[in-house]
Amino acid sequence: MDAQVRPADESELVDAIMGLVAAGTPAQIIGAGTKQGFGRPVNAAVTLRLDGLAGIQAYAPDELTLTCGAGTSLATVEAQLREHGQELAFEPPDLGPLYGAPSGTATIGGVLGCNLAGSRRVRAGGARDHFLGFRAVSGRGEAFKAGGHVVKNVSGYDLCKLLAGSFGTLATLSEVTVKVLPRAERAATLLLPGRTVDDAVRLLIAAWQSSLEPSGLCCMPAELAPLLLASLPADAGCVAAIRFEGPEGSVRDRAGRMRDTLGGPSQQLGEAESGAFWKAVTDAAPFAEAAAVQVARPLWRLSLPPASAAGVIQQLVVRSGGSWLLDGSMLWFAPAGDTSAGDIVRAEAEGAGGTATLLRAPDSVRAAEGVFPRQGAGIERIAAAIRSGFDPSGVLNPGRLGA
Amino acid sequence: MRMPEPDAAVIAARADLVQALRAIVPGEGVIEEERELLAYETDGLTAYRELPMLVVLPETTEQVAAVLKLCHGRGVKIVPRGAGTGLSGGALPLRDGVTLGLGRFNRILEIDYDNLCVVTQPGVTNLAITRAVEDRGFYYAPDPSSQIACSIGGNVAENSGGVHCLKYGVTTNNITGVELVTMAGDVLRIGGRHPDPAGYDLLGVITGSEGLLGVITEVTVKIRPKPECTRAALIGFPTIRAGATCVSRVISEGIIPAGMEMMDKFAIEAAEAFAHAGYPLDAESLLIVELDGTVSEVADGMARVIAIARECEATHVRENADEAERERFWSGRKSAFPAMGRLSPDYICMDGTIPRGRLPDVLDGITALSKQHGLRVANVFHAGDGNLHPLILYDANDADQLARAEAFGADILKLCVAEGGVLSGEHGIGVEKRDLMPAMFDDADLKHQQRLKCAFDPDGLLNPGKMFPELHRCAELGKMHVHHGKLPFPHLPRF
Repeated sequence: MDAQVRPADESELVDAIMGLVAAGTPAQIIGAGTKQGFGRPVNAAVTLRLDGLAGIQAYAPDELTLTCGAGTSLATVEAQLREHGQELAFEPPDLGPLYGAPSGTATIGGVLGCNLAGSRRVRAGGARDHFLGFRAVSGRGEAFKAGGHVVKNVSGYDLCKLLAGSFGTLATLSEVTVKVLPRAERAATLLLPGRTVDDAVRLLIAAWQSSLEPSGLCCMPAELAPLLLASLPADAGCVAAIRFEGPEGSVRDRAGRMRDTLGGPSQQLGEAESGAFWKAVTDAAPFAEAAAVQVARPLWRLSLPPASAAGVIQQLVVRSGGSWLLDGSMLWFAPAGDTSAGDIVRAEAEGAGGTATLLRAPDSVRAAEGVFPRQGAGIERIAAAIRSGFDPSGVLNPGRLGA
Repeated sequence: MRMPEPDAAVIAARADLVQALRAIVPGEGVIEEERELLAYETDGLTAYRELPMLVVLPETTEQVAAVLKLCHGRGVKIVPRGAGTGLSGGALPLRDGVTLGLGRFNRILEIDYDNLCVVTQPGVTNLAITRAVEDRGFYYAPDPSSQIACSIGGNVAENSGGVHCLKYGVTTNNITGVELVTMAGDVLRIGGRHPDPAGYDLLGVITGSEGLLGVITEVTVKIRPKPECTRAALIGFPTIRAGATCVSRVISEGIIPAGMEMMDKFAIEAAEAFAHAGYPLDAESLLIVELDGTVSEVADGMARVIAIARECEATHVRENADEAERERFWSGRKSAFPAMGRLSPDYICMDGTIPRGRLPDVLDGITALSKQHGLRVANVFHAGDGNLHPLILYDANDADQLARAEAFGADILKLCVAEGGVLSGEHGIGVEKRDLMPAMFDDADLKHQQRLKCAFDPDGLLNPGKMFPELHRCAELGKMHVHHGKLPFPHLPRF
């Protein structure tokens, strides 16, 4: 078998996986291969590449659904949606540059397989929440489908949820149907500089609890701000940012009222600056700077109960030192130096009732430490049983999620 | 309705099981008297009834785990039950099974405003969650029509929706954690107060699994701040097509209403006679469009919706003048079911979803089927998300009418699937649509679904006879068949 297999349609994908099963050869499963450093390293001689399964098959703007090949590039999908004033509301990030890959080449299947969402996660939900249906080939070499082509469906188990975030370890997606939504007419961002970490997180929670419907809530140390938007000064303290989206009058009204409610110094970003700022937050762009030298630098992504974030940030900064960016419930943390600070980060995340994922580190570190949080024995037993049901020969991305 | 063949040995050992269960759940928590068991013989799908062998009503997670472990050891089937309001027969008892009721899990455990969540036991009603947080200006978004009675655990099992789910999502989009007990008696804590925990999304697959994967003993739900302003408009159209066009235009112009409901003429007339909601009786279709958000945004949005409606030949447009009138608009729609109850001794409510653009043709098809089966039908429709609820009127005392109603319902759902839709938008498959699953899923699809089941419940003791028309043994499903396309077990028993 060739080192790289690139099926052009689902029947070739079936043949490829049947070939892996027959030969007892595991494969690394990739879309365009932009996030190969995400997950435990896979020890496989063969790479199964899915970006040949590309193309938009059905798009009905007023049905709010789009169906395409799983290997279709995210850029293609987003361009098509933009023509009709729509978007993927979960704001898929482009994490490729964190791993030294070029921006704008990720596939939709890769985004769903890793269950990646951006700053609008706080309002619109995650990738999993917008994944309506699929066709796929399991590790048994059988093509199957689940879900549907409509926005509301409870027919059978929700296998879309199972495949979202499964990192290609159960089945390889060949076709996906996603929910799409109207793109907001306008966006504006309220910046609140010169705060303490406690203050900044408290302001974000107050905004989250308000009826003014913010669609992005983030904060960061001031020195990080210029990396997100060049025009921002690196003031002292911490900067909080709150985004509002909607019709023009509504955005102006809500941003103004939020500013008055929260008080203190503030500044407002207009449409273009706001767009650039949140794109950088969603993509964790500050951690992709000088990617060529930093691809091996450890980077964590924590998922936290929102109110616990301030305490976790302070502990991480004291105990390990490093740079951070809080985006809703998600905390990016790059420890100082080249250590992963794994014990500290995992303990702080778990102590707060959250989880920590080692999003980036050298292969040897990810292989030794693992990438994803450990779960209880009961859950791991079920996960293993699911995996052996869908991929009994272990040919799909073995080891990527864990040992 | 054919159910799995009862296990005579299990039924013969009933007295012994009662004793063992009483050692776990003392007092009145184990029910064996026939007259008391009768209360559990059906759920919201009253066309099907069966007396459970026993009912057990535990109060703690430890008791649930012990009951499941006991039954697992003895090969006794379990049917989990929330409030018993489900519309697809998911809690239909088994003659050789123990119905496990969660009604005593009726406490809210913690309200965590800072993390915008509520931790609750599963027997708490959907509405009680909103009631507990509304004084601070919050609510729980999914609002099935039965919200006054249905339990949050049942909502998780069925992935329930409601009239506001186009904008705010269904249950799966509004919970972040559960405690689940497996059939073997393992207690699993899945998720928490944060989104997207790593690993396979077990929370996602448990939601909507209809009690086939585990018994839910705790739920963490997201709460949201109440919108500042909510306004509704009642809009009548001279044709179904005009109403459907209006719905599509509203969405394609970038407006996502909080709710967008449609009713056909028969439903309008029945609801108006029952609720006196002020519905226009000369309209062929009626829309309720509700917008929420800030005051200025809602005012702008409503002006745009009404302009679109007028371009779509609306004959009747009425915005609510005050909150009382908005509630009146909804009272008709929310009483559509009892209104049908006045016109007919019985009705069944179907639940397909279709691509919205297919609505006029699907309704024409339903009208033709109504004539063919000789039964009346009224249509209410979650128009925003394409979820259709045809209400078929029949008399259960007439066996022929029941059979025709079932056949009519099946034809409607097959029509939905043929038009690119699905069997169920929010009520679940249960027993009601079980035998229609092959209309939507082929053999490979269904086997992959059952492999998920096998990971949680390899012996198939949890709620068997629901969701899947054929039961495969997990050992057979686990085998690899390298020569695909050849089915090694083509003649498995159907029930």
